[in-house]
Amino acid sequence: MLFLAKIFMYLLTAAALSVIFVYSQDMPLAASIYPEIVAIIVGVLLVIEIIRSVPSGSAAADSSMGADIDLAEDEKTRSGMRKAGLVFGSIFLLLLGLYLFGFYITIPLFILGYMLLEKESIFLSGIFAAVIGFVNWYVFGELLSLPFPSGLLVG
Amino acid sequence: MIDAAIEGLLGILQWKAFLLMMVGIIVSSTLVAMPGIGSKTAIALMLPIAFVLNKFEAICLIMSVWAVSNTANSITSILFSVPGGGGSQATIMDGYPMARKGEAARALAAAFTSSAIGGIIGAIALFLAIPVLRPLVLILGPPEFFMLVMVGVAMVGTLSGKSPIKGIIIGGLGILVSLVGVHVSTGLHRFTFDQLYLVDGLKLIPVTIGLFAIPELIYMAVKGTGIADVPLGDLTKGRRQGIKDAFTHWWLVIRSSLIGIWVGIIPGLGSSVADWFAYGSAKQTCPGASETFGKGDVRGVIAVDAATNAKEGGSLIPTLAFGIPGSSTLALIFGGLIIVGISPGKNMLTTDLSLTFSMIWLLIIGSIITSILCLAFTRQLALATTVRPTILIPTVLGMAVIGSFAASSRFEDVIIMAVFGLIGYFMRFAGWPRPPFLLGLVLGPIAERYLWTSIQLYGGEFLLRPGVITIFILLVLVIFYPVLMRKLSIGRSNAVSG
Repeated sequence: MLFLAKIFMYLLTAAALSVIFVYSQDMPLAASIYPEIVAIIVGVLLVIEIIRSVPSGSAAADSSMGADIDLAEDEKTRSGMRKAGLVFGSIFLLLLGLYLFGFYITIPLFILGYMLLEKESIFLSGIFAAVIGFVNWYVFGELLSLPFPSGLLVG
Repeated sequence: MIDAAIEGLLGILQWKAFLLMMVGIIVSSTLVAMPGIGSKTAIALMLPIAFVLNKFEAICLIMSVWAVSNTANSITSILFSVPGGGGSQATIMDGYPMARKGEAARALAAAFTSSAIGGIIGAIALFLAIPVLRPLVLILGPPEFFMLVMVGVAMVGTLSGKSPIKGIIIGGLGILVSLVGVHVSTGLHRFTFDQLYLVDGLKLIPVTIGLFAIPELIYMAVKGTGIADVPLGDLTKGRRQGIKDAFTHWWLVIRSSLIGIWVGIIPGLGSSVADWFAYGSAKQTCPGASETFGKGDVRGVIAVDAATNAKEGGSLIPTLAFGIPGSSTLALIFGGLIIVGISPGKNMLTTDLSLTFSMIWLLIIGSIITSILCLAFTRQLALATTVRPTILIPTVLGMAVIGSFAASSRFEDVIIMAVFGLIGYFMRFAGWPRPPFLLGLVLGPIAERYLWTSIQLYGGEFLLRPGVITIFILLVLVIFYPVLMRKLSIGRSNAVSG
C-alpha cells in the first residue's frame, strides 16, 4: 500500500503537469508563462525525487514536522486500511444522501446511523444527531441564510 | 497610531465581537484537547461563519481559535504524557513527572499562567515592531513584494520536515491549483475545462478540510479510542502554588518568551521548535537544572509554555507586514482574512492599522481569558480527551460537509472536499507533506499579480533593484537557516531527553 500511495502521488503530479502544459499551449503568453515556469520547476523536482527514491525501492514514509501527524503503525495494517476504506465509504454514502435527500435530512440521519452502527447508545446518538441537525438548520440555514439545495427525492 | 490602537480595542470589545472571541477560545481549547483535531480543522470549520461578519468580528472568531490553541495543549501533555500539538511536546518532559508526583494542578497552573504571560509578551513584541516596520513597508514596491512572496513560497521546503523536495513539489502543485479560474490580467479562463464551477477557482475551505480533517478522522478511526482512560485525580491542590511559580520565575518567563518570539519571526519553524529551544535554554541556564529537569521541575514547564504562546505574536510580524504566512495554519488564516476583505501586507500597517491593533489586543485579552478558563475548567477540558472516535467522526464529518458547502454555497465544494480527503490520505501514506500545498494555494495568485505588475512597471530590470537583491539574499537564508535551526533543535531535544 505504501508503494501504491507513492506511485499514486507520482502519477497525480505528472497528470497535473501534463494538463498544465497541454492547456497552456492555447493561451496567450501573459496567462501561460507563470504556470509553465512553475510546472517546469515541479517537473524537474519530480524527476529528481523519482530517481532518488529508486534505490530505496520500497516506500518508507518520511515523518513530517509540525502540522502533519505521523502515520501510525496501525494505519499500515490491513485492518487499518479497512477502517480507512469504511470512512471513505461512509463519506460516499453521506454525499449520496446529500444529493438524494438534501442536507437537513441527511446530516442528522448520517450521524445517527454511524453512531448506532458503532454501538453507541440510541440516546447519545439521538442527542448528537439532533444537536448537529439543529445547528445546521438554525445557524447555517436561518442565521447565515445558506441556500442548502433540495435533495433529488426529498425537498 | 494611538487612535488606531483605541479603535482596535473598541472593535474587539463590541459585544458581538467579544462573544465571537469567547466562542473561538472555547472551541479551540476544547477541540485541541480532542485526539486528532488540530487548530487547522477548527479554523476551517469556523471560516464559513466568519464570511458574514464585519472585519473586527471575523478577526475575533478566526484568530482566537489560532492564538490560544497552544494553551490547552498542555493538559494532555501534563496529565497523560500525550502531546496535544506541536508546541507541547517538551511540556511532557517535566509536566508529566510532576503529575505522577501528585503535582498535576501545580504544573497545569504554572503552564497556563506562563502561557498567558508569554502571549502578552508576544503581543507587545508585535506592537513594538509596528513603528520599525511601517517606514520599511512603505518604501517597498511590487518587485520587492514579489520577492517577499517568493520567500514565502521558498518556505514550503522548510515546512516539509525531512523531505524538502517533496515539499516544494507539493507547494508547486498548490500554486498550480490556485491558478484555476479567471486570469486577472487577461480575463482568460485558465484550466477550467468549460466547467462553470471552476471559473471561480477551487475554494480554500473545502480543500483544507479535505486535505487535513479527513485523513485525521481516518487516523482517529484506526486508533479506535480517546486519549485518556485514566483517573484524573485532584486538579485543584497546588494550583495557587503553580500560579505563584510563574511569577517567581519571571525572568525565565521573559527569556523563554523572547526565544518564542524569535522562532515565530522566522517563517517555517513553528511551535515544535520553539518549545525545545526554550526547554534546552532553560536547562542550560537555570541553576541546578541539570539535576532536576526531566524529573518534575516546574521551571521546565514554565519555559516551554511561555515560549510557545509568545511565538504567535512573533509569527504575526512577517505575516501582517510582508504577507508571508510562517506556517500552514497562518496561511489558512491569511486566506480567510483575504476572503473577508482584509489584505495582509502593506495595508495592515497603513490604512488597516486598527485591524492590526485589534489582533494585538486579541492576543493579550485572549491569552488572559484562556488561561483563566483553563484554570477554572481543567477537569472538563481533560474530559474532552475521552470523547470516543465513534462520536467524533460522524459529528466532524457532518460539520465538514456543512463547512465545505458554506464556502460558496455549491454542492461541488463538498465533492472537492471528498476528493482532497482521498488525496490527503494518500499523501500521508506516501510521506508527502500536506502543509506546503496550502501555502502554495494561498500565495500562488499573489505572486503572479506582483510579478506582472513588476514587469509592467520596470520590465525584466525589476530583478536588479537593490531591494529585490537584498530580499533574494534573505530568500537564500530562509531556505538554509531553518534547516540549520531544526538540526540544532533535534540535537538539543536528543540531548535533553537522553
